Amino acid sequence: MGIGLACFLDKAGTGPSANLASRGGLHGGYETAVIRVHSDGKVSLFAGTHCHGQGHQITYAAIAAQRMGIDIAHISVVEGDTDRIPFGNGTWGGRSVSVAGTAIFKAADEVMAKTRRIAAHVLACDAAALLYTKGIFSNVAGKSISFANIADLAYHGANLPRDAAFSPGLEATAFYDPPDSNDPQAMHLAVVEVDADTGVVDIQQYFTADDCGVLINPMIVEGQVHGGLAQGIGQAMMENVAYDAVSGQLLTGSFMDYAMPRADSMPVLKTTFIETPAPSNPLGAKGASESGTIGAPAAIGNAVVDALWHLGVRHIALPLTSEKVWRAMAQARAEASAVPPVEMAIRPPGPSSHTRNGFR
Amino acid sequence: MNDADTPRVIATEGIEASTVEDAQYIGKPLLRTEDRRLLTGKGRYVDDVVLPGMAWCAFLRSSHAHALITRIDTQAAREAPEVLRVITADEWAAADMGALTVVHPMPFSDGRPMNTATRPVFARHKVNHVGDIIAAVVANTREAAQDAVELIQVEFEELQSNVDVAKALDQATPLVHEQFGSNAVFDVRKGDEAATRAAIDGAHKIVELELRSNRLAANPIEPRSYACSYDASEERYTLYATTQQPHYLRRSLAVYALFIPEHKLQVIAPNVGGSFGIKGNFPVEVATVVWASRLVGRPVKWTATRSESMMSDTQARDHFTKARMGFDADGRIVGMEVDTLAALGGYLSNFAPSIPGNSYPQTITGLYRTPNLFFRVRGVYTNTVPVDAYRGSGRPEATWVNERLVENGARELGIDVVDLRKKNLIGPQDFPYRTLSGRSYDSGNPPLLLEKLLTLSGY
Repeated sequence: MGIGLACFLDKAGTGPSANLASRGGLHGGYETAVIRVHSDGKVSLFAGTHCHGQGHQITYAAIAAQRMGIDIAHISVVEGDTDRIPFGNGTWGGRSVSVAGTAIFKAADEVMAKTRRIAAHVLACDAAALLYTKGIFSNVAGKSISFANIADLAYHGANLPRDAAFSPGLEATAFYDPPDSNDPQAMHLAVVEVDADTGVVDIQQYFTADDCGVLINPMIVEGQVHGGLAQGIGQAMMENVAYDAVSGQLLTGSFMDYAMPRADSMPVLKTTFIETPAPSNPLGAKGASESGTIGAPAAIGNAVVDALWHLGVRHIALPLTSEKVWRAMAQARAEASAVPPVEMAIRPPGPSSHTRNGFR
Repeated sequence: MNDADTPRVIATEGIEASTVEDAQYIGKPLLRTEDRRLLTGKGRYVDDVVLPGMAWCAFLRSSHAHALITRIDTQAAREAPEVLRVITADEWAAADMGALTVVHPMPFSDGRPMNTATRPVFARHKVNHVGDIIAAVVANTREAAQDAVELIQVEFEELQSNVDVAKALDQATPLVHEQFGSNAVFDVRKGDEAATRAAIDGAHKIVELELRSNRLAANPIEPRSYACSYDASEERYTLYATTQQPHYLRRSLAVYALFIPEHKLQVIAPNVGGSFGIKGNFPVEVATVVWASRLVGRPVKWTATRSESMMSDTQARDHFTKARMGFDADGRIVGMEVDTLAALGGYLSNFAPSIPGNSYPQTITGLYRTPNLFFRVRGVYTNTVPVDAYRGSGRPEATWVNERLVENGARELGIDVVDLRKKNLIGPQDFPYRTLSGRSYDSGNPPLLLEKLLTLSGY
């Protein structure tokens, strides 16, 4: 049995455009959000990121709904169309919540500032004297108007503040350039058992503690940890693109030869979180998408080294196929007993070996 | 915001948004809105897109890792039934078409720009990895396109290849791109070499390891797929693409590859079935699909098979590292030295150089106080599929090196592995923490995080 630890951090958010440019980068680090209130008070939220499994729809809607004080069900999130959405920098590097989330925050604030001005005008009071709850503005006298009614007025264009600078409509576009990227941290602990005869490694338990700042949706974040872990376990245990050393032929040309993790590759997993807010955005959020992949190879590798240390094994290469582990044990035992190593080929791998096609 | 010293219990069992009282949504485990649709087969992916009169594209790919193309004969393919067009590097060049561009270049340590050979839309005169695209066929059906691909005759003069990152800079190793006189792409150094050497050489305990980071393929469940139609009356393209970055893709294609006004190309990214970095802005097949839609005057689609994905989707990691770490008698790190060769493949892909050149060093010292660091990474060409971003992008490689050294250090010193971490972890008062690799860590509480982990695991 072996226990392995990995303490590490991630770098998320892609950072400010100026930093990227100073390194010769040919794209910006900002993100774009449009909040368009329709005349019936429902909202379309356009973002320049693109969700490919991260759950942006509910996450962005939550940020906007809370910041605007409206029902989350009234918000539709739209991504993925260059005709409808102003230039955005996409989803990668754990940037969406911290950068797009803040652009949404800012667009929401701009919309609500205009909304409050209309409300104050209609309710004939100062904006500061307005009460706002459950989507309804009221003044101290008890007169009230709903967010939806205000939207209607905004698009009707008539009963609006008499200010030459005030225009109809109710929408805002924010291009937000973050002042910094952010640094999520995590620690993993892997418990493994190595079969002394076959070299098969079984990950029995896996524990993670993550600090990705303020969690907007803890369920999605936990899902991100799980998903990243599956891929980290893949790198640790079985995945390897192999090319023939002489011909350069791709040996792992399909799933027959490239081993992908499956449901039964996953150990019992327990996760926990702390939240140290990111100083660089008002949500306090850090990227939460990649930690599973970052820590797992190290934690599992360390655990296997722990299990085999007493045999004299000091390092092991990934992926931890049973053949590799078995050879490491055999080599260490041979060195320890000062006997010339037995020709490996005469000892065939056991029935549960993961070796395929005999290539390395 | 939470007090970092009293972390709250996180409940993650999902809840419906409608059960939440208005305007208290942040921090709640709200169920995702797309799941029911995606899980009941109502997702809309690019391969589901069917456009009227749609034609199919298939690619001829190199079966050699490194070879000169001495002859291409596409006549039989052009004459095959249902074939609309056959395209090679010659047509692309004759039309003065462009190329992808590296958006994150990395220099040599003396300031020289990197040795840039970007991934071409079609290999010209030479192939540099198995899977390198030699030609494209557009036909009425997918089968007709694939059949015609097999009719293209190519003669190669095979060259010696190298697929081992560790050998890339050896004298005897064949050059992937002879014009550079080397397989080196860039050379980035950080830290004080002399001071670090001295600190480690004089340390009470030195751990030295050779480590590889194994090469990976992302294999998202949805393969790459592109479908494009061209409206001749408006001179406008509508491209459905599996992409993480719709605007970058539009820009790459319009500004760098096809030389069309940006607003004349609409990129629509519907549901994307996973990507993890490989559906970044400029995968080479998409330029052909877009161009072909204008050439043949009909919508054109290409969807990768899984085998194609394995030899064309960008791959990941593939490092060879020699590293040392020095410890004092109490187990404190006195210095770390890292020398890494990072394979970038047969050509440079968009983000590739910055992954080992910029992202990798930023977390190489991890969460440990490291008073001396000398770090060197050299990107190298090998005759393999180009490398680019994949979930983690440089940080898994860095953590593998850092944590293996720390772990072995603890064991060789006879110090408990947890205690050694505790001795070296930076504390909450150290943030913002400036590291010798250049990154300043913004906020955190590593000792508390460790405590939480130990409690959770019952260590």
